[in-house]
Amino acid sequence: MTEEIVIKDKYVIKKEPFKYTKTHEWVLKQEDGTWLYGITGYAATELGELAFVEFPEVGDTFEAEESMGVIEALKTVSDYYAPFDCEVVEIHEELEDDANIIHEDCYGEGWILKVKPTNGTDTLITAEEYAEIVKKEIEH
Amino acid sequence: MGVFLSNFSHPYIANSEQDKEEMLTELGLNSIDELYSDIPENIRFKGELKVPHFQSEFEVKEHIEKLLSKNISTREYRSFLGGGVLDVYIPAAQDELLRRTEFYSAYTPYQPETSQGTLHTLFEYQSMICELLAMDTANCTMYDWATGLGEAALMTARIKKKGNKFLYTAATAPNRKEVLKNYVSGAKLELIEIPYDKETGKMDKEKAIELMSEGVVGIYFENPNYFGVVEDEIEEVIKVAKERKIVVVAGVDTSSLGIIEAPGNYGVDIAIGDAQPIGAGPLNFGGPLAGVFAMKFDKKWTRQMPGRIVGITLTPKKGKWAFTNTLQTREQHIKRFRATSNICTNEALMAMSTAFHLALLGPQGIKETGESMYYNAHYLKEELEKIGVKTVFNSEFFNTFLIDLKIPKDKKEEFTKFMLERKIFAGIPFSFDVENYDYLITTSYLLKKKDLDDYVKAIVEWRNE
Repeated sequence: MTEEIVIKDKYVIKKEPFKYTKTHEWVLKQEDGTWLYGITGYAATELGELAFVEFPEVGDTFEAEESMGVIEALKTVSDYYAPFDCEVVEIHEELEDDANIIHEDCYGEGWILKVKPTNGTDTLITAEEYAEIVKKEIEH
Repeated sequence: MGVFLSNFSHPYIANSEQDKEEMLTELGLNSIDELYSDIPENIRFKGELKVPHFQSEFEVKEHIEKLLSKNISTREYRSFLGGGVLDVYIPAAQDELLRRTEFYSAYTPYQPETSQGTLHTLFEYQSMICELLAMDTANCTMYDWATGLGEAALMTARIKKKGNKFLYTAATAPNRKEVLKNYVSGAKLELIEIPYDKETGKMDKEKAIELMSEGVVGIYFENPNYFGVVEDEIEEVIKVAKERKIVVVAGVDTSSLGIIEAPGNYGVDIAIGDAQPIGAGPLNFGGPLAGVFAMKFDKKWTRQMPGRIVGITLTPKKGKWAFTNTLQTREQHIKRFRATSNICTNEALMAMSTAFHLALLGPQGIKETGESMYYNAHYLKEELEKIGVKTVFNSEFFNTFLIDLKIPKDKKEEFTKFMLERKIFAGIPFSFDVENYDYLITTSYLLKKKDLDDYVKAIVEWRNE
């Protein structure tokens, strides 16, 4: 079991081997060198029930922090951003029928993309660093 | 101290001189004129506006009525005008329903709690449009057919992502072409015109297929097209479009669908048109119009569809129908600059009006009015041929056709006047060359045999003069 940081009893942040971005996404390195990508427990909880995910296409390339797609909740929309310079190698097609899987299991079945870094992964931060960002956001 | 009118510079614009001074100081300007410094000197109006002295309500009314009496209407005159609008009859019941205070507003309501009647009517409008066009999803209108075309072009680009070319036929109405060009100019969409066949007036099939190359996201044609010609040989073009995954968009004369095949039945993905010819409202200087926009169902495409959509749902205590604006996350008030369309309103009142009209007409009425228009046009064509006036294209048509009148350009005004003296709106002048005008004529179901005969008689007289 991956250890967790829980903030305010509701925002779950999974520790190593999960890595994070400042923009509320997580990544998890796979054996084949690709990375699974999703949104964090904080983001999923805050967005609420989800209606739709707009995907990039397999083969699309992005620079770190560039918008890769859009998540639609019932009453709001939010971009999700590239964790590092990367290429999209797979999209989680099941989410096309039920985007709310993200809301229910954001670190597991609710993964959004599989990406391949094209220029290192230095832009990532640790769970602890990410937890500090969340705490600050809550204070505001 | 109370607020006195004399403190204001104008009874309806409540800025006092002091307010103006404060605002100018805040902006760092010396005078109000400096706000308009962007407008070049040479196009600025100088001097005093010739505004007449004030008049009483009675006097103003008398003046306006005198001006209005100069208008001529299709109730006294016979209209052979078309080109996207149609002389229609609005039954008393339609106006009666529309003017009910629960309905009579230009706005789509945001609050479903207080507007079930309006939303229900709009939902019925969408359902009728889907039935008429054989489509699965319709929005509750764009501004008009032309903006619908612009939106459809942008939508095909959003769906296909890769590619930036949009094809349209040369036989598209000139005003719609203009709006299309304007509409896509910011979106880096390249427009390519497919020529029409000079003999038949139909889309040049070979050329269309040749143009459907890499990077083309959508293809648009009108049916019947602007010349009135029915595009009845486009199966292959549509087949090739499907193979090459190009979105097929068709603009149709909604009033023709009682007798012409619905676009959804011959492979069209997105169908657009105008609701005016199916009774949105009477001719009023060419409006008001309401853009019809419908598509085949595809979950991903629906989210790329512009405009308001009213959906049906169940109340929290299950079992009761309720209506609400749906998929609003596509719209500007939520999605901001990424909204599917920057038109965040519609022609809600005209959509309701259309729903009332269609409900009163029913399928039988739509068929009968369509047949009536078809017969009128074909009778008129035959009678014109008897006096030696040919049609420009010898193809099947619905209620509109181009007649080979060859009115020299300098005689156009004279011809218009001549026909108006006989209480006839002669049609839309259309020029293929620099010297002459042919006329695009449309016959509504309101024309009687005598009206058609009078038209032919007038042409004979014109020729004899």
